[in-house]
Amino acid sequence: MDPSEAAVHPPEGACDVALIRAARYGDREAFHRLVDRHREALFRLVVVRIRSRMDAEDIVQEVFFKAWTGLRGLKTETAFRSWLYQIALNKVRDHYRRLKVRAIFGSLEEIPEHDLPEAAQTPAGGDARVSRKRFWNDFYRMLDGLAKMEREVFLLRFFDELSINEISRTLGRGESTVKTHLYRALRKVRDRAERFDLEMEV
Amino acid sequence: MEKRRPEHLDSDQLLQAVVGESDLPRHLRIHLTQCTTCRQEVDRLGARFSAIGTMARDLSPDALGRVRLSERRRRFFLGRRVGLRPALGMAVAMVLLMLIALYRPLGHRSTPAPPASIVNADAALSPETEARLLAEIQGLLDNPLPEDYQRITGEDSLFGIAGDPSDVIVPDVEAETDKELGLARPMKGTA
Repeated sequence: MDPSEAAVHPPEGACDVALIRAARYGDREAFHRLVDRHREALFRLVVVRIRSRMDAEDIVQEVFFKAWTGLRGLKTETAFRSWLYQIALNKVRDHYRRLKVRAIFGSLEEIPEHDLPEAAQTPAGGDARVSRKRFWNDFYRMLDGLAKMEREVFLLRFFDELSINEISRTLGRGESTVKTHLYRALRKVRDRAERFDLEMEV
Repeated sequence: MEKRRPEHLDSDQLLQAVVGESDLPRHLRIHLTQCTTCRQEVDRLGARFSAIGTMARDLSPDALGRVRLSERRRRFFLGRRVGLRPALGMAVAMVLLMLIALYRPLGHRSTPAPPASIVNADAALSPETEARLLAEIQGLLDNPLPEDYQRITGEDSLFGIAGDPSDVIVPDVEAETDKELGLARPMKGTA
């Protein structure tokens, strides 16, 4: 018997855990509802880190496909979001590794460090575009001053809105380690935000 | 004696409070519950960091398309969803087994013995029969067509001319002299 036949479709508005349980039994519809819930946030997570909309779209697809194939291996259903973000961050790392390899073989001059998300290039009023561009410039310059782990923890906490516990699960580090990195990041951001005009934007 | 009120939180302690109030020393936690100034400062600082994240989210591009699992990416084998690799591995293993199964009999196979009737055929032929068979074979080599066909096609003679018919149609220049053909030999330098 096909596993999907045995599954009972969760009702509208069912929580993630119910959808995950159904998806584990092969319920694609339940999985698609999970996708719809987390897609936007996941896309933002990826696009801000890799700074390319097209690549971000591809990576998000890969993340969800990997999640679908590995859903049975998810131990704690309540940790679904952390698990999903963990997959996404691994894909982002893979993306940068590929870029490095391409750069070695000469197909890229260098890894783009200051490309802005394409939102800054979408049609908009002149002032809005300038404002966006300035914001992203300041944002990335501010992040460039942080160590890797500090940057990741800061983004996960204030951009992706994960709790300390979720960040700990996503990065596979202890909560105290996460807090230490976050504290260091906040000290630097506090100083740099003022220097890079982010204070005014805020 | 009047109980002394603790100092306000300094900037680093305020940051610590933003990261997690539960990690603050007990006396600072108590102070935060009582001091509205410090509480407001912690909230303001937290809101400032959150606002950076909020603004970045607001200015981020939206995802373009929907994400759906495509049918072709699901693979079923014997009613269970499996990846391509196990199926490919099984196919390769089966091909290898078949090759081994075929190779072994071929490698050790000796030439099968011919049937007894063929083995004893030479011994069974009398000298007359053998001579007749050889004559028939020779005849077939000379004229493979049956006799009736030979008459129709004129294999033995073309319009009563014995020999190779091509000799009549295309004379053998090498064999015949110019005189016999009635032609004068071309003069040197006129050819």
